[in-house]
Amino acid sequence: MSRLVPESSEMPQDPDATDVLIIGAGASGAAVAWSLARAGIGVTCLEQGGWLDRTDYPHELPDWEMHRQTDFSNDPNVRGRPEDYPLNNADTPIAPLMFNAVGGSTIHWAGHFPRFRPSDFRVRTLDGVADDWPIVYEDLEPFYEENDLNVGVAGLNGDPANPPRGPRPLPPVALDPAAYVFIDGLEKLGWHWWPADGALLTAPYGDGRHVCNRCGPCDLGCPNGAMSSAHVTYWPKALDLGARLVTHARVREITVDARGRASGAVYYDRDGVARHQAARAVVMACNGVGTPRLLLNSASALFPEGLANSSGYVGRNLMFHPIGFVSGEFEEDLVGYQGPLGVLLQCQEFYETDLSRGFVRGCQMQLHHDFGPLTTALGGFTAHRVPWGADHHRVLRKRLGRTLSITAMTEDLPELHNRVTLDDTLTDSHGIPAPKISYTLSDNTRRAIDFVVARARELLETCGAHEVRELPCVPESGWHLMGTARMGNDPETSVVDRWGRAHDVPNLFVVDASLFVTGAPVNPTSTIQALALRTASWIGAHHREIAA
Amino acid sequence: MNAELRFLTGEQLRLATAVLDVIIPPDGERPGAGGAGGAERLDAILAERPDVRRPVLDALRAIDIAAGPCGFLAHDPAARPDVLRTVEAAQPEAFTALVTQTYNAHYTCPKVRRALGFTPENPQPEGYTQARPFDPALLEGVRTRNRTWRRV
Ligand SMILES: Cc1cc2nc3c(=O)[nH]c(=O)nc-3n(C[C@H](O)[C@H](O)[C@H](O)COP(=O)(O)OP(=O)(O)OC[C@H]3O[C@@H](n4cnc5c(N)ncnc54)[C@H](O)[C@@H]3O)c2cc1C
Repeated sequence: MSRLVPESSEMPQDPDATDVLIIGAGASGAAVAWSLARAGIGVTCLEQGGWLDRTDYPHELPDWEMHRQTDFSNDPNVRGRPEDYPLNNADTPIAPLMFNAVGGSTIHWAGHFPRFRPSDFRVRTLDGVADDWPIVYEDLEPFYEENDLNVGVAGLNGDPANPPRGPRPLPPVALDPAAYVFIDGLEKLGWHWWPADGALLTAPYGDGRHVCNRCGPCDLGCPNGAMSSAHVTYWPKALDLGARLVTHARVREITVDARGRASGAVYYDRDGVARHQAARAVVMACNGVGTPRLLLNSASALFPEGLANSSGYVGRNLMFHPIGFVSGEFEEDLVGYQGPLGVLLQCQEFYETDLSRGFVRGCQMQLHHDFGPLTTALGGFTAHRVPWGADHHRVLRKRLGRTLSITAMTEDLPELHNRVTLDDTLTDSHGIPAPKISYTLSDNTRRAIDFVVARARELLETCGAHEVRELPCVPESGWHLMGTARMGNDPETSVVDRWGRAHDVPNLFVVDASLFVTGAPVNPTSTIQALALRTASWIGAHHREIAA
Repeated sequence: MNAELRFLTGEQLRLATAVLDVIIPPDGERPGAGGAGGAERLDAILAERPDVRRPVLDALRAIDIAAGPCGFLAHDPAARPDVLRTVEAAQPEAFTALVTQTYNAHYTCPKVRRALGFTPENPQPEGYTQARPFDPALLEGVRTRNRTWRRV
């Protein structure tokens, strides 16, 4: 339990109280740090991981593909690095995935960077399910634009499936044999498609970064800085502006003062020494699992159910984007292992609700490249292994370079019983209680997966695939962690207000996807960073009042 | 050769070489996984990854036993796949682990990767050839379709 007055007598205090203390240096924390530092506000960020150097990535090792199974796995339970915390996933069919370092999970991400649509903020009004957000698309629009310029987004204007918007700063990802195959099928079916928005450099942009050289395994990190991961986009600028970033600093709890205001955080430094960093405001940016975990770990006499949890909603309404993978094999060599893994084309034909499909809300298809020899042999996206024995080489030759894949993604809806709690016994290496994930796939989501997987199959067959394999509901797909400290106008049914400010604690903010009310059927990070910039600008405008 | 082994015994290495050649057999002129040095790579993997040792050793042992009293190395090469199939059915988890590590060993071998037309390392910093710039004319059909996002 956190103490009202931090353990000042026995615990080293960091010298000065910072104006704003950010916990977590991933996509959202980085954006906030930059925005506040630019506004001249003192910022300190505590991050449990460290910086990754070019040589830390496995790309230059002959066994680089194998690192997907070990120290560069998306799954912290598999990776088990000292900076990772374990998760109890016994009660979920989908494992949360993340990376813990400066840059957070954007070290691993694929950079697929769509925006939410206006309808995604009005789910209750339009479709009678879940809840409306307390904000609308237009509230976020300027921050989407600002974020696109900061990270460097590649794409093309004019998509009839999305509202008009400012031009992307970079041209879309180039056309390769895979793109032509997909486009042919999509045109035959008359389905929507558009070059995917990519948070990656297709042309020079920004210092110290390089244009994507199509090497392929974006999921192992990008040693070139082409992928717009937060450690190469926001952090260098934030540090130049005077933000302070403390790495290998694992936060145990947020402390509060006698008035119930956040007063800072207790963290373990790189030597394992517990320290206290005082702050006038605290921003939580630990992602949809890390943030509720830390709020629950910050229970105190004033907040016995966990910090900012008078509603009981901290940790509840966990949403993923449950997905199916569908892969098609083609006759011709499409060099399918070349090019950015997750950014090529997108199909939003089935995005909005159409109840005749048997489910409410929608789905999208991400059409993309495939893998190199080892990952292909091990089954690629759909986990169908190349058989051992006499047929091995024939099947490998049939698949390697000749496979294209689709991520068939659905919108999950918030349900109170899907949640993050604290495990009774499991802890991280500092003895801090670890999260336990309890999640069941709803019937609606299951029907949505069946539908979109079938459409992906139809598309690949129309494209000319002679064999199609699928993996409906992928277990290792909890990349997007949302909803666990949601925003709302009613303190009884939400954790933070429309600015990300905790209803219970006026100087505590949440900026990661924990605050999502609903999840849309598309990747969240563009929206996460836009929300983070919006909250940061509000903190910037009100920081004296917040600190008072 | 044995002096360089980090985990397997010489005997286990010989057994692994023969087993790996059944899992990934020779391909025309090219040796199978065993002959291509996969067993030595497997030894290195097992030395570095305690988490996979047990199932892999269990599978190798089960294969040797299933081959009969004279062991797998004395078994008729043509009948060796049947032995593996027996173990695959009886001990699927251990056998799958062995196959996984065989694939890991084989497809991270620089010679094997070159033979497949790949560099051993990921192609950095050269990358792959740039593709053609996107041609917006391809989108003419999509552009003319109706707006599909809902106004709210
Ligand atoms: C394999 C993979 C692929 C993905 N692909 C895409 C994609 O194509 N498009 C997309 O939009 N999104 C994608 N994502 C998701 C995207 O990475 C996340 O949405 C985004 O990074 C979330 O930002 P965040 O700031 O909320 O959290 P994160 O980026 O996860 O950062 C949280 C940070 O908080 C730190 N932290 C947590 N707890 C503590 C603590 N107690 N003390 C100190 N530090 C702490 C962590 O170490 C971490 O660095 C992908 C994710 C993965 C794993």
